[in-house]
Amino acid sequence: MGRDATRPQPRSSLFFRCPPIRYGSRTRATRGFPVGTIGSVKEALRNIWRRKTRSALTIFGVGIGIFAFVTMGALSQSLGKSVQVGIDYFSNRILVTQDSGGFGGPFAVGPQLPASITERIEVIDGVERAYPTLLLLAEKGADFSVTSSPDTIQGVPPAETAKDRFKLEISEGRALRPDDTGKTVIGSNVVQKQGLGVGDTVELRGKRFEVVGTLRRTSARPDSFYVVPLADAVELSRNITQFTTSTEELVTNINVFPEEGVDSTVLTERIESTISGVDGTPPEQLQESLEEVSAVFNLIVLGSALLAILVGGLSVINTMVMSVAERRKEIGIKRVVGARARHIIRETVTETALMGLFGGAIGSAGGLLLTNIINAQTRKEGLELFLVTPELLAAAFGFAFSLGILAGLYPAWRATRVKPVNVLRES
Amino acid sequence: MIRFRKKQAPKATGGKFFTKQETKDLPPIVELKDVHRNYREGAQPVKALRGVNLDVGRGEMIAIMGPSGSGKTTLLNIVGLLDTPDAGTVKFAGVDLGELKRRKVPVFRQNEVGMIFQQKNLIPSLTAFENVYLPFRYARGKRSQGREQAREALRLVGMLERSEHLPHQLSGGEKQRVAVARALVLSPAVVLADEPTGELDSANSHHVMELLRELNRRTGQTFIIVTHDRSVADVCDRTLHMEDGKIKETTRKRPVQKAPEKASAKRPSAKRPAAPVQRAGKARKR
Repeated sequence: MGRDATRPQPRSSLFFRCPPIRYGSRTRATRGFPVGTIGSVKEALRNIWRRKTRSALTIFGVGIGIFAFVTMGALSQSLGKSVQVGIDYFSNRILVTQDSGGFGGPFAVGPQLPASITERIEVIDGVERAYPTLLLLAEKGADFSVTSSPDTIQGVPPAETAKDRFKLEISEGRALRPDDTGKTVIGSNVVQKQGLGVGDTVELRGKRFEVVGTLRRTSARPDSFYVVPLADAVELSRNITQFTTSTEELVTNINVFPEEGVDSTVLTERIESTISGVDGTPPEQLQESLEEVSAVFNLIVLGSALLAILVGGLSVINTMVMSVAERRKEIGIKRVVGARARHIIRETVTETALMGLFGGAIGSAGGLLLTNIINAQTRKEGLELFLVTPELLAAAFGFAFSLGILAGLYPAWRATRVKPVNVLRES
Repeated sequence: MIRFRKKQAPKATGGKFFTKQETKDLPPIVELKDVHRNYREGAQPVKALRGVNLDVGRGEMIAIMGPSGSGKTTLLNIVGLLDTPDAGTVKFAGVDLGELKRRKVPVFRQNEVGMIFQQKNLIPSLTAFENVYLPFRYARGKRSQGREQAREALRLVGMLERSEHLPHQLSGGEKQRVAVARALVLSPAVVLADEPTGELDSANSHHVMELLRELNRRTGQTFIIVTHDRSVADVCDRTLHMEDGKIKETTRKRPVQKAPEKASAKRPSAKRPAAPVQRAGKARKR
């Protein structure tokens, strides 16, 4: 049906959809897929920008929490990795040291025990094999501290360590061979600190060694090792210990490997009862004590980080509650034009989630920066204090995002309580 | 009962689309019978409405005047489904709003009612376009259709060029025009305006009222306007005077506009565009 040319034509196509009798012909709100997520994000960004100072302070509050989470988490991860290396290393060996009334186990350093005990241990029922290890400080006066692990000479019989289930990985060069003498394999911290590489020579306690290999980073004590043949280490030990009258070959500890199916705790007791004056530490005990130290440390570190995040979350809640109070009129108008409770919740939570994400980004970036700066400093001392992994960063972002969402729920609920009629009456 | 489907004619009209001429026989779009509303302002009980009876015809443009506290805005809120009466019945296109399920109220309001307020009625963080598009954001409609409708509504009020501006970048008159576009974007049956020119100067006030009058003529939508301004009321078909929660007086400025004769429809006045007898979308296509 053609249109009358003399009739004034509508200026807008809306007129076509809005003919004189509108009722029943208009476009209705229909049920379908939800729209407006992008619109909500854009609006949330503008709302954040509208109150720059307040938003910035809130985001900064979340950022501090996430910063604490990242740095403390990195510290915890570093310790965790170190502990894991220790657990792996001691997973199937009993460490036998001298019962001297002092520290033993994995913390012992220096010549303490006659190497000849190894042969006596090897004949004990249930022992598969055993070999001695001698640990010496590479420099006089070096000490353990929180930020430094001293460079240590580890004397091992290469023929025996080659049979170990847990081996330190070689990064460059090769491992020690049974016929090697005057050769060393060095840890990653030593490489960095001393600027050594394969082919270089290094003087340890007055004796020159050729570097034949470097170890892959473990974030644990072996990073500060000079691994040398046992015979060379014993010779160095004799040069150092001027007052020892013993002519015996002294070592630090003896690594004992139980036979398949033998209970290591029972075997440890058997060794202690057979050979007097020794102290055996079974793998379970070592594992337990290492995990205990790690757990306590993690609890303190992550607990303080969570506390910081909680404070950040409360600042988000505070900001949004204020924001909702200020925007009562806006919320009322939105309800009038069709917004339902879920729309208001979505918009409020989108805003808090974005603040959480921004806080997460700032906190993660700050944490990454600080840990790198500190690591660069402590690496010189032979220790990498922080370990920032992609998983930790993802967790920080996830946490910040979740925190934003959770912190937004209460203000969102308050926003849904706004009654348009009351708001309009107030205004 | 009206069902919420796209382009479905309501049962109240027998599921059909009508011309304006034919709607004369249809029941009023808004019917209020003995409506009472009381509320408290602090400890003080306020009788806002005391037995209001009102019929508003389809396509009618009425003004409600009266002193502050006479119940004008309460009446508007009840018609706009923002408030519920304590007693009496309110029918909207034959649908008793008292029987409407609570969860259907927002959808009903969204589809049937457009609202324009006096001041600060745009969302400051949204552009003019986004403000007009807002009802679609909550309507779960088709996005592209919503965008097109919003653009058309802005064009209709002459604000398309300023559609990307934020409210603080617009003048008072421009803001109100955007608010008009938002009220019209879902093509509601009734548009309620609470002091639409309250914060505008006389020139802008005149422009906005001209716009509303024009829309009323062209689209046939019903307009109920609360105002203190006599010049605003003069533009309307009928003026209700409220006092102490009651309608005291009704002044009819002009009769409800009759559908023009066929001959006159072909020769519209240059001054005033005639409201052509058109059938709604579906009917016209036939």
